[in-house]
Amino acid sequence: MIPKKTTSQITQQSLRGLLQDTDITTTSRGSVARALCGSFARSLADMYDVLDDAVSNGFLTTASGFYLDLLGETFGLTRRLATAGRTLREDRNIRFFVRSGTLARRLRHPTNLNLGRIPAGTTITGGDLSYVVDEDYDFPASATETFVGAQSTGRGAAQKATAGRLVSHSLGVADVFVENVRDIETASDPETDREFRFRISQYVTSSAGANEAAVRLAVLSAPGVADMIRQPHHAGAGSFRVIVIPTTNRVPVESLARIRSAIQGTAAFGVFFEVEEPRYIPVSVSVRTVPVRGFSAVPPADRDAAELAILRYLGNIRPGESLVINQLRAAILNSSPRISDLVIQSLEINRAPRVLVNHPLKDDELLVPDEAVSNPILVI
Amino acid sequence: MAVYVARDLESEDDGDLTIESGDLVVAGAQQSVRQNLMCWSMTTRGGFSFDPGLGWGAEGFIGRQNTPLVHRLMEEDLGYSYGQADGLALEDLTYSVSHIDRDVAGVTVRFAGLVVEPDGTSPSQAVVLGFSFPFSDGAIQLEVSDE
Repeated sequence: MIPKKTTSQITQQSLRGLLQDTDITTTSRGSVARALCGSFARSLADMYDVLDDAVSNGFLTTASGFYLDLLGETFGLTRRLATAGRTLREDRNIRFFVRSGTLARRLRHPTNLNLGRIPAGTTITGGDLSYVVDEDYDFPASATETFVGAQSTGRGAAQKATAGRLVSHSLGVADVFVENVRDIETASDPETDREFRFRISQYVTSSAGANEAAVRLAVLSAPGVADMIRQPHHAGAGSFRVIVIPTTNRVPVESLARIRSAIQGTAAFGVFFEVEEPRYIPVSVSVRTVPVRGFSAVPPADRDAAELAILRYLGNIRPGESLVINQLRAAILNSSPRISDLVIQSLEINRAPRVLVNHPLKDDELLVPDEAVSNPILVI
Repeated sequence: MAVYVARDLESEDDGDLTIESGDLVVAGAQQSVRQNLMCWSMTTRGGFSFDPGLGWGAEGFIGRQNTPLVHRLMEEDLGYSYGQADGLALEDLTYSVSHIDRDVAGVTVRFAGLVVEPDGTSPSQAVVLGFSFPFSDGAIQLEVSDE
């Protein structure tokens, strides 16, 4: 880097030179020598600014904005645009449900009496977020709940929906409820300078293909992915396995497909690879809350908030970390000012009852609410 | 009274640099003082972008009445400006503003410091700077003479 000089620095340096090397002995304000030096210095300082911009934007480590885009283009890379929030039915995230009776009684299929249907275009909202069901979703007549795929109407990270954020729908049936069980993390802002710079820096190595950097870049480029675990030779020479660590409880199905496709383009011919989700460890927990003085019971809204807090806490435990009972208790207590105490009545991990002690996870394990239980996170 | 020995690049009364035998000329001590005084007197404050505080507030007097009260205000402004000039000591300067025509004021600045030239001599003549200030447009007309 070239050390930048200001007008004042250049002027002082020039005047010092004049005083040392010539007969000129005054450089006070109003002197001809100072006026001349000052004028030159200002032009020179402008040049330093231009030079500084040119030099910093000429290197990957310091280039930004438009200039970084130009650098990316030399490698055939373009900045990623903002993406919408999206979740598929297979993610089992956006859930329509009823509390009594069946779903199909309220949402009939237009032609088949054995099915019910949530039509495409149904809007699901929560606060200023709006998601639209992307296709018709049919479900059996006996179902009390069903999951749908949906996409946000806007783009950018603001479209991310935390668990429980989406709460209303446009179906016009009052006793059909909707919720997003987990965070929807796939929405993203346009790639920042830092992110794009990292991708360009990895490109030179990854462009050779068939190396770890190429695989890592392919995995991390998918939305909802926090990290990966690499297991070489898991099926003998010429094979590897990638375990994808999600930013939430689960890897979005869409991301898995995208990762497989991306690795396909980088792995060497003949190499066998597998992309896997972490081992999901089902967990269910039942908590009895004690209200603060003045309340006979904790209000339902506060119990919902406590459930959400538990979901969030479980979702934030990364592989290799531990479920810490005290942290779980703190998350519940912090979720509402109307909860004074709580009793964890039951804790089941991997569908086996556990004593209330911290539970460490292995490096490829991730806790998820037990889907085999009707209400895995229960706060009463 | 301050002693003035500093030397600057020499310039003509119109501000052009003096060049002799293809080289810039370094002025004597007296000429350097005169140039400095001219620079502070002929520059309107804010008019020199490199040093916006240089000069006096001539522009603020354009359109004003040519009256003794305004003359005193001009003297105050000139005094403030000369006080900012680090190459001049205010006690070595006397300055006055007076009526010389219907719409024109005359400004006289007299420098009486001790100047010592490089050869050790001191010029006997003081520097006197005179200029006229038309209130209509502020176009300062310079007159310089040594007494």
